[in-house]
Amino acid sequence: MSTQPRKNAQKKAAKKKAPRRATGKPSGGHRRAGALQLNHATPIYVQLIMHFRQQIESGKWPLNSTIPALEDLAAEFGVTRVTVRQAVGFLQRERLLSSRRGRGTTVIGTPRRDLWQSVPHAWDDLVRAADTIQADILELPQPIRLPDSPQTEHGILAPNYHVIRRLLSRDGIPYLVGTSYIDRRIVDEVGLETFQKSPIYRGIERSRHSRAVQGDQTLTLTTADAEIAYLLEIPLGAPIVTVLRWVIDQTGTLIYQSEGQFRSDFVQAYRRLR
Amino acid sequence: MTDFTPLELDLTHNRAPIYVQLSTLFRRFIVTGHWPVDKQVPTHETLAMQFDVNPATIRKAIAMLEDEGLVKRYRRHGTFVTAKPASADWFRIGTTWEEALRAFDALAVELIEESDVDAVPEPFHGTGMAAAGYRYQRRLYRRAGSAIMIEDSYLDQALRRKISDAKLAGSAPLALLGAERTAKVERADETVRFGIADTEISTILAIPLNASVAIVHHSVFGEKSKLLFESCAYLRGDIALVSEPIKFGGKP
Repeated sequence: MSTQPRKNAQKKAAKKKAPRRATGKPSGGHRRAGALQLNHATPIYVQLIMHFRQQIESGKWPLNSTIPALEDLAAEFGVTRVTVRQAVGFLQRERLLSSRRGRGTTVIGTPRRDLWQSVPHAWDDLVRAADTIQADILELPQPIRLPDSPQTEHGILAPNYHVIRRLLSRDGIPYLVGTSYIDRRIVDEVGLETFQKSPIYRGIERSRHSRAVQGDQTLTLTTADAEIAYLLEIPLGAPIVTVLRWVIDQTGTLIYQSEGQFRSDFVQAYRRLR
Repeated sequence: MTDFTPLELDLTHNRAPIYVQLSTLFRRFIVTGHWPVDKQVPTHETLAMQFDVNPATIRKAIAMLEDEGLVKRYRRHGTFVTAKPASADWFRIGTTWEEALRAFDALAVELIEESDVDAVPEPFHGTGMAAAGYRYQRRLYRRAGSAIMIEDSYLDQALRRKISDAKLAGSAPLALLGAERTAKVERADETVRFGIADTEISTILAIPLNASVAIVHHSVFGEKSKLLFESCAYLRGDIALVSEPIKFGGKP
């Protein structure tokens, strides 16, 4: 996989700098390629992966149909055939496409939608949902990129926090990297093994000294950095939904903070507005 | 500051160049405050050892951050963090009925397409009882001149006739449903999903193909679960924000 020649397009993309906007994100320095616009911020083959997946999901490339020839796709996007083949290869490993010599490339699957994880917004649901989530949990070593204590303006900081970092997978597909900071006094009270073997919200519920009474959460879209891309087995720069949560107890202490980074196609948030 | 846990990160896993991958990590260090503003970052040699790469690779990664205006390199003094990336000018997706109605207040509305249809194709939260017919409309919403959201909506024709053409053309239909008291709303559902812009959406919103988008579905039901309104809006992902309190004390 790593022996593939690096694509000139990527090098060019990185070198050719557009003036920056205030957001710090690369400005829309589009390249007009065929009828479609590719952007410079994300490697070309990644954009092709995302685009092809979208073609399948939307039904523009129906199940069991043959997709356009790689040469035609390469011409359409103004990229080399190697780049197109890289993207197709990625989707083959995801079992969405299958290529057979002389037969072209066929759509053999659709991106799974039943894996969607709902993001609740009620404490009871968070505690309860944790029990119903069918996930394989892999404990990760300490984060390489987070400070020791939560960076927050929510509540009074506890003296210490215990950090738990987990990779969650369903049916072998990693979909969430979650980093939780728990007031260490709660961990000491209910026991570390409670948190290691059961959902974190349930562990917090067991505390007799601290009671969760208030909290906030935000959902935003970001892109996968190198670490998240590696852990979630997605391309660098692929969209990520970041869910941040803060929970405060009856004394105004920040007893819990978490950062969840989800594969964006695995998350949805439902609200009954009325 | 330099005591990272040894990195168990295989940078050859991704096909992106190593320096690009490293720059995404370093950017993250700045965002999280691991590398504080105004402080010196570890030397290129230290970082090269930590990540087991050539110092030239570190230099290229740092140069990407310098182009973004996040760090500055001084000859003989090293590299310093100059700023955190500016946070986006968020558009908040409403999470209550009142917020959802007000969400469009500051936006300019342009009706770009409309037609009469018999039924709502694929109502997201279920059909309920279908109305006799719907008015399909596509609206483009702008903020400070820039397109930020495109919305496809279906409004019960019986309701549509109660609202003047001018009002319907210049307003967000959801806001009208709430404000006009034209309908008895029994239930309103919202689902936020996330995806990427296809050719059509990227062209309309003037964002790159594959840029992230938030997809907001609204369904409004009246008496006897009649589907009064259905919409699907594509919002630029870089400004989409859901921010809400966590509810405590049982179900509302």
